[in-house]
Amino acid sequence: MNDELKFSRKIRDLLNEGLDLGNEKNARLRAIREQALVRHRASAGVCLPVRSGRGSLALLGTPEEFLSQLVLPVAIMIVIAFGFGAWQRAGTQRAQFLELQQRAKEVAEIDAGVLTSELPLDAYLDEGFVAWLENESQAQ
Amino acid sequence: MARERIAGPVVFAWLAAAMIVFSAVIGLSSAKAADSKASHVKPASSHVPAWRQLRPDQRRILAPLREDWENLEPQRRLKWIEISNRYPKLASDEQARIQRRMKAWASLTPDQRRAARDFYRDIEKLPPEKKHEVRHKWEEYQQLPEGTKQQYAARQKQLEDQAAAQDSH
Repeated sequence: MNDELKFSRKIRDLLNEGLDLGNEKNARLRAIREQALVRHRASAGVCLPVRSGRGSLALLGTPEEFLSQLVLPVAIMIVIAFGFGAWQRAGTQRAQFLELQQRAKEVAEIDAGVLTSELPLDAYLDEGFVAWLENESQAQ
Repeated sequence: MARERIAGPVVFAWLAAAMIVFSAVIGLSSAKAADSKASHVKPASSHVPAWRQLRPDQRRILAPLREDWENLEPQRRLKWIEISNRYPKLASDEQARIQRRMKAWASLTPDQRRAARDFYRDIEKLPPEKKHEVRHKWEEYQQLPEGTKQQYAARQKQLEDQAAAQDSH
């Protein structure tokens, strides 16, 4: 058994017995730990909720980092998504309009023929004339 | 190492947020499209011009429809705009007929217009000499006794009702 192992066992025994460092030392250790966490967060470049030594929920990251790394990208993403939705709706409306216009052109072709015809409008609307004309053409 | 442990959940959160936002937007678009299909009017109405948006020459040609214009469905407005675009190329007697008939034609029921269009298509299929003859046949028909004309009208109505019943089966 070497010296290193003996030393580590002593430390383990001491930790198991518990340490009473006093309020002042505990406060200093907590402050050092929080500073280390802030440095770690800055080097990692992320912001995550963690539990502090006092058990409260704190956000890692300064307000500027929170804004540039989360809020701004999410806002850009929302704007892009809504822009895409609006573009898609406009395309659908345009397609429906073109379809409507095509049908209108087809009907206009016939209506223009009826409206300019030498035959009066009454003739087109007289059901008796339609039947009589058919009867006449069959008789010939 | 710490960076990798943190980056994983962040990327996942980003992807989840992106999926939620896109789903919401696409869902919203689909719902609006479904609404517009149900109404048949809303999507196109924004593209169909109101009376004041027509060109001055179109307003002049379509003047008989001025009072009814805002009540016309989008497709009918587009049809009249198309007719007004063809109007300058027509002969003067054809232009006069359109002006005389426009209001009466617009006030017909959809069934009356459909029947008139069907009859027009039938006439168009005739050879030119027969087509020309229809005008004289109309004058001849008008000389028939009223009772005979009503008999023919009743027969035609019966045929149309039978055809409609067959279509519905």
